[in-house]
Amino acid sequence: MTSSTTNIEDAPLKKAWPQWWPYLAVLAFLILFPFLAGLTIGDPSAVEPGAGWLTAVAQRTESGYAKFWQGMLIQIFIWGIFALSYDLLLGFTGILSFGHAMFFGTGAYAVAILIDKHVSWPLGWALAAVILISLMQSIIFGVLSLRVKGVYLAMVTLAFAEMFFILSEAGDFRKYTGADDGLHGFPVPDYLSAADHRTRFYYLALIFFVIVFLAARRLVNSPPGRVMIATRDNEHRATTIGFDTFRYKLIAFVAAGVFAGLAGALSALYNVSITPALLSTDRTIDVLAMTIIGGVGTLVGPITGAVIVQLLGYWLERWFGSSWTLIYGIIFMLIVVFLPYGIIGTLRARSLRLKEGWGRWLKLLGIKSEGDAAFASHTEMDNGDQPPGQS
Amino acid sequence: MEEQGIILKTKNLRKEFGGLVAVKDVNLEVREHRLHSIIGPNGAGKTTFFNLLSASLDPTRGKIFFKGKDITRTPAHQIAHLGIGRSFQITNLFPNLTVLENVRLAAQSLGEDNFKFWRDHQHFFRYQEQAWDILTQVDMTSEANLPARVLPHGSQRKLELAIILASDPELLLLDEPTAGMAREEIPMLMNVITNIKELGTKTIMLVEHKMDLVMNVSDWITVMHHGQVLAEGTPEEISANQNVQAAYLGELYSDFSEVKS
Repeated sequence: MTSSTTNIEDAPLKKAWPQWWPYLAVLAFLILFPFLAGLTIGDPSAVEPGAGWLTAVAQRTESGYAKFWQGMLIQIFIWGIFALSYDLLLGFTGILSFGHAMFFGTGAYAVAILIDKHVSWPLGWALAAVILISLMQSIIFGVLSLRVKGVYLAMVTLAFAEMFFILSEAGDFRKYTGADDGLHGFPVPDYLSAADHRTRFYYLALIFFVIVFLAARRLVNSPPGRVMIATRDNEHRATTIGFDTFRYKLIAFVAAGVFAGLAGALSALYNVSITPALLSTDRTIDVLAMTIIGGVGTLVGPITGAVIVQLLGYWLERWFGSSWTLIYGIIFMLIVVFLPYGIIGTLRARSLRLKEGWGRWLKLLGIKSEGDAAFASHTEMDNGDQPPGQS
Repeated sequence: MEEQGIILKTKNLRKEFGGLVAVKDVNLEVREHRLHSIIGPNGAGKTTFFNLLSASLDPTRGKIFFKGKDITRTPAHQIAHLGIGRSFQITNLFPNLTVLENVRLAAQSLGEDNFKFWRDHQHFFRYQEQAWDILTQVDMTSEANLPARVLPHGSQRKLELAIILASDPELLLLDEPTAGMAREEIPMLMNVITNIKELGTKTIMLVEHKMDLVMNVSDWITVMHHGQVLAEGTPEEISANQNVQAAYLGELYSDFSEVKS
């Protein structure tokens, strides 16, 4: 055994910086995207004659396909936040909830009702209220549903979500909720209107997306986050080493609820419309599918799932018309069969095995000792972003 | 409680599963800093008895005292905080977490930082150090970064022990630590256990059904049979006891309530 495995300084702390560069590269691309898109696929005829080049670029980003693809990315950000929040429950804590749309829909309804004519709050207040409402909602329903486990929990959360769905369709509150019609065209402030200032909305959604990603990453790597992961792995054991697992599950539930509420609010602001469909179980199934396609128990996985489902939905609908869901279903089944840990989960397992093999090869050549090889290949498993159950 | 030097005591402890009485009014005293083994044939109620002690099960009747304090209805997650650590007969680890993380979590559990969600867990370096020390103790540092599920069975049993040590308990409840291990691996694990014993600061309760294994290491032995205490005494007394031999050979079927060691 060499000194590197016996020395604690080296073992658990891997220098974090090299891990960040892929994230930074993606972020840089996302920041530059509106301009790149404006220059390449923006509509040149949207530029007014005599405009300076800066104005010209700005006008091109707000036109044609550039505008369309920003819209697509905004939706990916929204669904990415939603899927990420769902994975905090399913992938990191082992809670299977069938009622996650409750938070998404409530967030959407809350912001719409609060800025609509009967309440007319400023947008900032409304967003703060969304956070507060989803916080309280997740605490209440977390305490109520986390008493049971597994399929029972799935049923209880489903029932709570249906409750809100029925409430949103109820005629009694038509004045506020629009009942089964929903609300359309509520006064989103002009400066943030996705129709007129899509690039602004794009950056707003990007900021939310980055904040939620960083917050989720910090959470799963924090002491309580590690307990969440331990609970997922073996709840009984987590209890016997002294953790009151209920509390940690509640932390996960609340974080997931607040993030989902924010995603719902963004979705309402972007579409300037809400319908009871936002609260339906279909939305939970969508987000479950995204999480599974991308990779349960990873942070990047659910986001990847959101990208894939959004893009697939767009292209399949263009190619196959209304029967696209059939093709989508087949693709989903193939992914589940051939990539049981999702796309990111499977890739990660592959890369681990590749490193393992590389370690063995080096050992064979006498370059590295066995301890080192084992060490190198599994350090990544410990960064809180690992998919469960691979062997 | 009244007596000095008694760390754990049960009073008429009883557990019924429907009609089956798994633990039948057991009165037991465990003295401090001893290695106290509980042996008995399969189905004697040893593991159920342990489950009662570690609050994995609630007793039907009876009381448990730890250092003089009644802990009978304590929630399972607080048992570790009292200073009782428990290992399991069936390997019970966090399979997808690394060996180090398995141990680190146990160390973190008893600290003050469990709810600090705004900081990275690696910031709390002392838990890592603690975990590393324990891995050194059980000679597992070379496997520290492997996920627990890929370990060979013997190492998993050692890790099971390391997890308990991480919470630095006063009383260790070890439920068949050698279960399923290959013959040649057993001495290595028993070494670790005797090392802990020789520290002189910990009390160990060991459940086994391999009688020969515990004879050398134990200070005191309790024999359980059909949910009852059949005999108690030093290893020498136990090995000389006719009833114990009969129980192990399966010759004794009658009611043991009159049997005294």
